[in-house]
Amino acid sequence: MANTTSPILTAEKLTKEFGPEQVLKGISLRVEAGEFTTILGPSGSGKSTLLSILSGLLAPTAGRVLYHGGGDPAGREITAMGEEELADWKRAEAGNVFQNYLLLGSLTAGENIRIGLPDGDTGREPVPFDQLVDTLGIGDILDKFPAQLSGGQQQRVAIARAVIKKPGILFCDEVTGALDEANSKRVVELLHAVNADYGITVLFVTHNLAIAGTARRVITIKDGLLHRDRVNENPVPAASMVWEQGV
Amino acid sequence: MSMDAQRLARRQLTAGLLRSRVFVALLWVLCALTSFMYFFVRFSIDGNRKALLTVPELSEGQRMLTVAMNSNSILARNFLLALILLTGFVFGMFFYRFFRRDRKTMGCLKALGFRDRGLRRHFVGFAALLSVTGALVGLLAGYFGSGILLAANERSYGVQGLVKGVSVPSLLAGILGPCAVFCLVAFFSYRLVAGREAGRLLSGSAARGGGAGKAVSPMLAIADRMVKVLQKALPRQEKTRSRIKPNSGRLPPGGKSSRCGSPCAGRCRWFCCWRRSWAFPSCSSWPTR
Repeated sequence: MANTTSPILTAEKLTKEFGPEQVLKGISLRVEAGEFTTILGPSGSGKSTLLSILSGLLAPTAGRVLYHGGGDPAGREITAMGEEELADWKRAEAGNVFQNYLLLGSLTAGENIRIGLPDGDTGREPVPFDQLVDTLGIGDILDKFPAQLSGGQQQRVAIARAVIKKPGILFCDEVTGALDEANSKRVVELLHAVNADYGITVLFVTHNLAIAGTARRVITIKDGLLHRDRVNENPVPAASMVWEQGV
Repeated sequence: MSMDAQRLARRQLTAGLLRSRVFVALLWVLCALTSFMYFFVRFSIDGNRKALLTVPELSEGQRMLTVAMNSNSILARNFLLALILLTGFVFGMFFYRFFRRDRKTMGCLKALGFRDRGLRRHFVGFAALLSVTGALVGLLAGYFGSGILLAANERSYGVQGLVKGVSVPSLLAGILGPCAVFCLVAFFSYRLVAGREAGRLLSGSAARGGGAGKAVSPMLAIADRMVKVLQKALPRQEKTRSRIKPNSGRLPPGGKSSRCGSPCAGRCRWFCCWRRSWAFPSCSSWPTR
């Protein structure tokens, strides 16, 4: 893991309202570059909404998000970007892995990974395809379509798709939510490997305490507010975590 | 965006569009019919009108033919407009249905960093391809079909030597006119997802100002109803012939039929229930799970 304290992402006073309901109530946080950070919270606490805003998938009602990666320490305000600029930022700097995989059904696993490849002008070398496939153990399923794959296999393909461009930050939204224990552990291990091997910052939303225990930093959200932000001095290795569900 | 990624996205979107093969075939037939109806009449007018203009003094039959050609010209234009409107509406319904059904795919592509401009271009291109190929087939069919109209004109007005011909403006109106309208429909239909946040598309609340199931405007609400009617009318791609399928009912397991009140174990719709009562006087004689 990269030992650095420079932030890659800064959120300032984020609020989000869906109609009359206020989901986020003024959250400010910093995500350090190269860290594996989890956002922990019970269902309905607003953690997925927060992740969507941080990753540029949703616009906040108020507040702003600054991205400091890509050689710009002053930061670029994601929340002020236009549609095309935001698309380019997502393409070059952000990787997303979702709970329900969201693979493209008409493309094979290999093609689903290749669709994540960036332009040649991102200033960052993509992860070699073969190396990534070996790391994630999906070499034998590249010609299969998503419908022919198990949940665990689909999630590994989704991780490969997000990681192949070597993004500045990887956003993972409850990626183990639809998986059994064995596959969940494998996915968490792989994400730690991605964080360690490629130096990609990982922001992982979960309601699982065991997964949170593997992270260097744990941010807890409750009722749309930042409840706690602590550094985990002794993160549990992903391979030896004891599985338990719920916050 | 790398070329490879663009190509793969196009393939995914094309596969999504072609999933409704019957709908696409209907659109193509409508495109062909639109230009056929126009060129069928136009081929019998343009060449002969030009020839009659060079005749110093028209016979009675030729004068009557000129009048008939003028009214046919108006008829052809009205046919073209009416069919463009109809086909444009069906195009709108097609894209509306697609964007509602495939909103997660659209959200996924946007989350991957695909721009609205590139995605929109694909749908406009798809509409252009359908309309131009349909129009060319309609043009060809119109050329051959116009012989019937010419023969009828020759018989009716006693004029010989009528020729098939079409002017360049008519050609442009019959091919490029519909194509331009259908491309515009595709362009504006994309507004259902254009500028929408990827997060909203992925979560299902894609429609502007409402949930996934809510229509965007009264016009789209009408389109939505039309799509549902069309969906019922079009043949469904079902793999089984049986209409009674285990667990295909909408009732939850243990729910009761609206007709007979018997426990349906999640396997009977009203229709099935009706068939049961027709086949067997007592619903309870049917096996439950």
